[in-house]
Amino acid sequence: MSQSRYKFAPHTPTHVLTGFAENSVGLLVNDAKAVKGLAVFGVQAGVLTEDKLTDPIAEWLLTKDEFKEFIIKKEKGDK
Amino acid sequence: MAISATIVDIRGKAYEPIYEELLFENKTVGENLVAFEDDVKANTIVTSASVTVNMQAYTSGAPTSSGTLTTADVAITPVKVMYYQEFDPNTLRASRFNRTMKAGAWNTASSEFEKVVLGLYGRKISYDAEAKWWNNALAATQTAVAALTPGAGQAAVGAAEQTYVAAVTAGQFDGLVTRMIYNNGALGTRIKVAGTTITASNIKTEYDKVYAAIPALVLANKDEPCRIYAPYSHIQFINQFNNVATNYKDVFVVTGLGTPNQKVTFYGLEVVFVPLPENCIIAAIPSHLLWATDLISDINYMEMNKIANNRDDMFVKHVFTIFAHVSNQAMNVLYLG
Repeated sequence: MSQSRYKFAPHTPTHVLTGFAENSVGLLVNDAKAVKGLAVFGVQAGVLTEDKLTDPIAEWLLTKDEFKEFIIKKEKGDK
Repeated sequence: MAISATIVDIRGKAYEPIYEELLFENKTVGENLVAFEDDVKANTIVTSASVTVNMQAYTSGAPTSSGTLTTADVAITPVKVMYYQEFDPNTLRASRFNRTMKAGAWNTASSEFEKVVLGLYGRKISYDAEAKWWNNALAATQTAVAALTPGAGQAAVGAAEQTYVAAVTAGQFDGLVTRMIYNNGALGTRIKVAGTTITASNIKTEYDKVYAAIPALVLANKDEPCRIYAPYSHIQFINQFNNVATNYKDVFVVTGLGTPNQKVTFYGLEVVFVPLPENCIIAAIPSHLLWATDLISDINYMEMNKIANNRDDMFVKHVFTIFAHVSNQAMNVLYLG
C-alpha cells in the first residue's frame, strides 16, 4: 500500500485492462484484468492505482475537477 | 491451450467479411513521424554536441582560452522483446474456417483464419509497439520518479509528470514521454509546460503555451521543421474549435480533412497525431526523437509453425528490438496536464 495520506473513494471506477500477461497459454486472446483506479491521461497511458498514490499526486489530482471526487483522506485505521 | 472462439458449426453460408477489431495504423513507423535508427544491435553510441563561444578583446600576447566544446555520449542498447502465443487449429474444424482447410484429416490449417485473424494479430502487435514506444516505463524508472520531489520549476519534476509515470503500466523499456521526464538516472532537461485538461474550448490557449515555449532557435531551423505531436483526440477538439463561428480559422489549418492526405498545422507547424497520453503535447524537431531498433521491418515479421514435429498445435511468435531516445533534450517541449 502507498504511504499517502489519501486513498481512493469507494466509487472510483474500475477499468478492464488487456495485455499479454505472463504465463498466458490462451490463443489470440489477451488476458484481461479489472483494475480500480484513474485513467488520468487516458487508458492508452495506463491506470493510476492506489498503491502508486503519493501525497503530491493526490494533491495534484484534487486540483482537477474530473478527478477530485475520487480522492479522499485516509481515516484512522486505514493502511 | 485452445483458441478462444465462439463457434457456430457451419451448415449453410457464412457472411464473407469478418468484422475485425478496429485499430489505429502504426503511423509513427508508416509515416516516419520520428527519427529511425536501425542496425542497432547493442551499445551504439548516440552523441549530442553543443558549444559556447566567447568574443574577447584581441591581444598580441598569450590568449586566454574561453568557451566550451561539449559532447555527451549515451550508449543505446535496444531492448529485445517478444510476443508469443500458442494455438490449436483443430478447434476451428467445425467453424466457417473449415471451408479453407484442405481435404484430409491431417489438414486443419485455414488460409482464411491465417489471413484475417492472424493478420489482425500482426497489425495489433505493430500498433502495440508504437503505443509502447510513446507510453511505457520500466518499474525501476517508476520508483525513481516517484522518489523525486515535485515542483513548478524546470529543475523539478512536475506533479503531472510524476502522475503520468506512476500511471503507466510497467513495461520492458522506458517510452518516449518517460524518457523526456527521466533518463540516464536523472531528471530530463525537457522544457516543461504545466498543462491542464484540454477541451475544444481551450485547445488554442493550451497550444499557445506550447508554441510560446519552443525555443526560437528551433522554430527558425529551416532544415528540419519543428513538429507538434498530439494525442488522437485532438483532431476532434481542433475541428470543433474551428467550427465555432467566432474562432479564428487561420490558427489551426486543416486541409484534406478525413482523407489520407489530411494535414493539420498550428501557426504553420505540422501537428501529427500519435498514441500520446491525453493532455500531453510534444513539440520537437523529429530527429530529436529516436526510435532505435535492429531492423525496422522486424516489427512486421511473424513466425508461425508447429510447436513440435509430433504435435499439431502451433505457435505464432514476433521478436524485435525497440528503444526510445531523446537527443538535444533542452530543445524539446513537453506539455502535460
